[in-house]
Amino acid sequence: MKFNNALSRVMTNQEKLAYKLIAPAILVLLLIVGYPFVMGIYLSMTDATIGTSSTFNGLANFIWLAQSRLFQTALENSLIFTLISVVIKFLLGLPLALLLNLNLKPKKLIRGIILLPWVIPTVLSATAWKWIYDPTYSVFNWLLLNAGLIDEKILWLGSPWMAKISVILVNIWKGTPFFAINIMAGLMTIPKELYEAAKTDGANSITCFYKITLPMLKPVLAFVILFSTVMTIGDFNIVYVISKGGPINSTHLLPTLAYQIGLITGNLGRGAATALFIFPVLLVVVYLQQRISKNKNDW
Amino acid sequence: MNKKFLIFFILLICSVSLVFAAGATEKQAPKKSLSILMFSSFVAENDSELREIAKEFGEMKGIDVEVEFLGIQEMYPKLTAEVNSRSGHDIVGLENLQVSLYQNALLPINDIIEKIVDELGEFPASSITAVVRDGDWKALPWWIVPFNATYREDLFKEVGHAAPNSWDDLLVAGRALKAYGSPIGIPFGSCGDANNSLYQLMWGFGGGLADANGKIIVDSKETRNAISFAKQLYEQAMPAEVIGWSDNGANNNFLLSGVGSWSLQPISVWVTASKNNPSLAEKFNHHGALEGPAGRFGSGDFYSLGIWEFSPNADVAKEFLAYLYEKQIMNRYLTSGKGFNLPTHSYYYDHEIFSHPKLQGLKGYADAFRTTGFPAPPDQRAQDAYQRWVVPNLFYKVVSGRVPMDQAINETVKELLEIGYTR
Repeated sequence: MKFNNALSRVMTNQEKLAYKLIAPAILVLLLIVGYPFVMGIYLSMTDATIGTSSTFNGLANFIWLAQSRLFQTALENSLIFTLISVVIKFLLGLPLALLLNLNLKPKKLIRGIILLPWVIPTVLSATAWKWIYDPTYSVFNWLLLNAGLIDEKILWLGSPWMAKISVILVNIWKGTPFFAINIMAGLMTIPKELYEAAKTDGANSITCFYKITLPMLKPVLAFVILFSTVMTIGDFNIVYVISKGGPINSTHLLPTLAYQIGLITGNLGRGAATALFIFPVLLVVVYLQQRISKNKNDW
Repeated sequence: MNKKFLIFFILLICSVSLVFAAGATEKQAPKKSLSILMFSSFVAENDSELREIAKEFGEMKGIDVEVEFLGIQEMYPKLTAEVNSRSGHDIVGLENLQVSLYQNALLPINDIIEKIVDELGEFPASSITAVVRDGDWKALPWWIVPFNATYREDLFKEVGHAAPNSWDDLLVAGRALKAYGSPIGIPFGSCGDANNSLYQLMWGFGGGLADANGKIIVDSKETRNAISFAKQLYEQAMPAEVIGWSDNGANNNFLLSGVGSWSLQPISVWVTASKNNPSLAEKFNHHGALEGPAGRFGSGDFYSLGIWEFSPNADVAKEFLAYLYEKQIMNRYLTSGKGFNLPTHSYYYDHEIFSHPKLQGLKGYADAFRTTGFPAPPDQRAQDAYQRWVVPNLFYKVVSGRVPMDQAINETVKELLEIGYTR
């Protein structure tokens, strides 16, 4: 009886119950995410190398990085890679979502196929793309040569700009389904009555899209763009598998550089600093996303 | 007290007691063990043989021996984690300058080396450079994967040339082969094969990144000659696509496709062809390091075995390393490698495996072998330069025509200063 009363009191105070129920998840997050993050910040301010004791050196690693030509190249590459990838993923994802939202047959099969690039493990798909780009056995080159569209093989990874385009293409191929499926989910929440009312007032499809669809999708778009930006700027696997940062560092990104400096060269302090350098930029992106999400819609 | 709570409490106490009891039981009967972390060999039989050797050692000593294999690139984070946590395996496989990276965590094994030297003689200079740090042997030299040349003997004969002995011979033969439709190729991209190929070409012309004191020497006539030669080789003897070779498999594919006639590559191409295309395999052969104006230099990957200084089984780990170098054991291991592994000790240079007609060209390669970063010290800076692809990037810029020679050299000097070398 007393146990039942105690249980009943706990269940009635929902706010306290909520905190108690999410406490284990928060604890796990603190251990798996929080601890490494704090350790990373600590390491980034030391001269830590593998197997030696470290001393605090403040912002010395960040200053060294800022002056490093290789870091500047990787930072520039990361920003270009992220900007181009996210914009194109959005431009492709939105129309794809609009198409997927139509009552096509077979709808579930099409949606499943669209999702495939997203669900296949990145290392696996990157390995397949590496074969597609292979200088000797490229299937792209084989198709284009046999179709008579080119006379010589295209060196997909042979020049800095071609290599950049090639890895960006893979990121777009992988990430567009994420945009499409999430935007499609957002589209499904827009009340149909709004469109009916708009059409009654004489609005055409384009007007409906700009006046109803886009404003209603703003919170979803903000979420999707934020997540995609974070995931794209942190993309390691595609570049590591396909190009290893080459040729001549043209595809080197901050994550691949952090790995190279920290683990391959053994300079843990500078590796951590490299990984954390983009953190302030991401904070700004999160802030902007929060601002956009909070805007209320008048309709 | 509530009945449900009482039952729950009793169950909890019983569970906790069982856990402690199991732990105590384990502590009462500890069994000696040895764990080994090894990089996967290209030849799978090598790994099987090592497992077998480890098992026999364990049975002989009455201990559990466990061997785990990982790819080379996976070894880096694993080894770093073990050093930072001061726990993990007892013996670890090390590639090239990983000895330098982890030298503070490796147990000196001077006593084991002394026994081997007493039995077999001195190790060659390349082994000493690879594993000795501050006068201590930090790892046991194990084997070298040589970057000898793999070439199509039939195609060379077709154009009237023998296997090249020098870089100049290669250029002459290469022109003829390209005209015949079977060009040669070496990678210039961001990959280990490009490092190994271009370092030995650079050394052959007397070039280098830094000298034994860490002073930058890349801005020299010798390095410029090497780069100019590479440009000639690319333009006159190679297909344009080699500039896009960005991974270690590209030159393999080039040769295995039947199009390529020569590349710097361990015997892996021949081994693969032997399984998948025996008639093509028959046409391949191998030759050693090429001679350049500054001498004959070879490159490759140097593998060694180290013991963590925090290993609780250091004594038995040392016994295992000594066991590996016993004649019958090493002979077995080299046989299982099918010639892929060159021994690091001259005692085993004439192992019967190298009397195979396709492998005779590898004899003596270890004498020409130089460790990564030569002539600079084999330290973290050399590792940094190697992993940043400093040499491939330098050659790529000039050979592809993207950057003039002087600018490329200046950019490389700046990068080497950043790495920690001095003017």
